[in-house]
Amino acid sequence: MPAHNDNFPWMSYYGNYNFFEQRMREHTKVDTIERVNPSVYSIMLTDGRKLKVFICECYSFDTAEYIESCENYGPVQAVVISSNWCGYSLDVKRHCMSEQVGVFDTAGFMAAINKNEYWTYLTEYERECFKENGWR
Amino acid sequence: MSIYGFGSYFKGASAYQDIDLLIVHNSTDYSACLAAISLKNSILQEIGSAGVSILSRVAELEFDFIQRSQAILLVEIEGSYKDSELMELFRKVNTYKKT
Repeated sequence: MPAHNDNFPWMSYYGNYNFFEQRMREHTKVDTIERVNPSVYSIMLTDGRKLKVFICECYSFDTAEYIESCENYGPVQAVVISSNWCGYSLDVKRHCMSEQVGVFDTAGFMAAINKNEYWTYLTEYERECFKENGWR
Repeated sequence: MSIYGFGSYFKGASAYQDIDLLIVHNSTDYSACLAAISLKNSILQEIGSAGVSILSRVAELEFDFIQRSQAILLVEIEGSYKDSELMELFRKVNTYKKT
């Protein structure tokens, strides 16, 4: 199944990210969540940090898509790939980590914001890949 | 950069929602990404119904995108793209279903 919208900002077919919003409202580390535009959220964490989060359903999110997102919306602190059908490359994960920007799926973002350096959070698969390639 | 076609249109389906194209760029440096984004925007200006994905060569291998989507190579571009190369791409896309 392809992404529902193939071009920027790769909006959800339903035009909303209700599942993500609900998960954020239930998260113990989230104080407030504000929808800045259909694809950008401002999330205030309980420790006072404020994260600008770009969310999308891009089938294969890579570095060019990240750059395109920043060109349109300015710098972000995290990117969340919303759909299970979609994914992101290891390259964009590494590229963004070097800029202290996190790239995750929804579950990964929920886990990551428990950490101070949320952008360093890796899934088990990513940990294996990073280890194999000697990236950490 | 290489431009591929995939999806219903390139499989010869009588009904399709959009024309799926993939740009594969060789480097992940900033200028290479900007060039790919610029090419995507030029394509969208001409083919409004296009859905254009962009991947670096490395990411394409990671996703195995070309193999999995049975993508077809349409045009290869060396360096910055020229109008003539864009025209060749549009011609190939527009005539694809007739071949």
